[in-house]
Amino acid sequence: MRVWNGRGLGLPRRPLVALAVLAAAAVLAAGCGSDNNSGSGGNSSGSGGGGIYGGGGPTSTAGGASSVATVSAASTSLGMILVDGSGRTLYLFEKDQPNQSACAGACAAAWPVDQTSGTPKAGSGVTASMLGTIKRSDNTTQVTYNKHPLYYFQGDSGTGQHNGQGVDAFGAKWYVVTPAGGADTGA
Amino acid sequence: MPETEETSRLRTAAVPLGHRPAARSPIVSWTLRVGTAAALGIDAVVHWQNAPAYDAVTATISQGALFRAEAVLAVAAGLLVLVRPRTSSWVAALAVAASALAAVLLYRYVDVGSLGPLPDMYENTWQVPGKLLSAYAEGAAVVLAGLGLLSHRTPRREPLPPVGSGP
Repeated sequence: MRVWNGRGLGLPRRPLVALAVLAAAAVLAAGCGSDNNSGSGGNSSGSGGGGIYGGGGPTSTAGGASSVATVSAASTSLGMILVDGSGRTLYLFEKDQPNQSACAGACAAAWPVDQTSGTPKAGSGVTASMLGTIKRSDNTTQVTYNKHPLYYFQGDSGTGQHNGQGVDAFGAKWYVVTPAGGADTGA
Repeated sequence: MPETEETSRLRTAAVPLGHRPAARSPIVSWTLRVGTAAALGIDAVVHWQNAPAYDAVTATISQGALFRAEAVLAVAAGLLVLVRPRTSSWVAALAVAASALAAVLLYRYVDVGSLGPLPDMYENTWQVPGKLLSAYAEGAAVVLAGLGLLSHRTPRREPLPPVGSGP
């Protein structure tokens, strides 16, 4: 008579087994989900897909790659700051040099550039002569203000948000921009 | 009790083999191995893909270089537990995953500045492509590799009394 000793059939005999299966399921779920930007609200229009984590190259957000960008000033809890034509907050990156962006790849996926297809329009409250553009390495055109390349933040899900204010990422801080053309550091 | 063919077979089945791991089930073993390797693989891909954006964050060594090193180590540790699931392999996987998880949590929440040859990697946001996913994968790899290590540990064996001895 053959006697079964309970081994070799892969049946859960101990809590360890159940834990292992649970942990493996968690890994698979994480791998399949790849919702990497689930912080303070997702932004479905910021970055193109790329790799397993969804980040991609720099693309425009609210402005759209093929439209002419508008930059205006808006009154917020931080004071008067620059926003795009639809009211989304614009940021500058302290690591940037004048008219030169230091943000690409994963950085530009987290901080999508403010693109334009032509000369950006000055909305209310901004100085038109401070508006400009730079050509990026991927041949897109980025809006600048007082020689600061302008960006959105993936953590802003809509108008009136400025979750990127003061964030330290990719080696330097990010700030909203004042109509005078500087960083609003809150100091 | 005299040893019959039946009792002899039972005794043989119950005696653990020398270095036989505790996780005898192939399903459990492969779940732990594949799960750990998959988690480390996710960690590796995210670090490798994000590395160029961090090349400019540098001291003696750049953050981009550290990301590439992490990716290579994660792949190596994942392969080790897949093809050679020994104690040293589980320890390596656990060390790689735990150190990566500790680093991402430290630099997410504490501004420690530059540390020796390491650059200032403080980044107080999860809004970086793959960062949160990678952290989850590292956490899962820590759990799975820890379980793999525990299950692989050779249990202490009590010698069986010879058959027929005792009352």
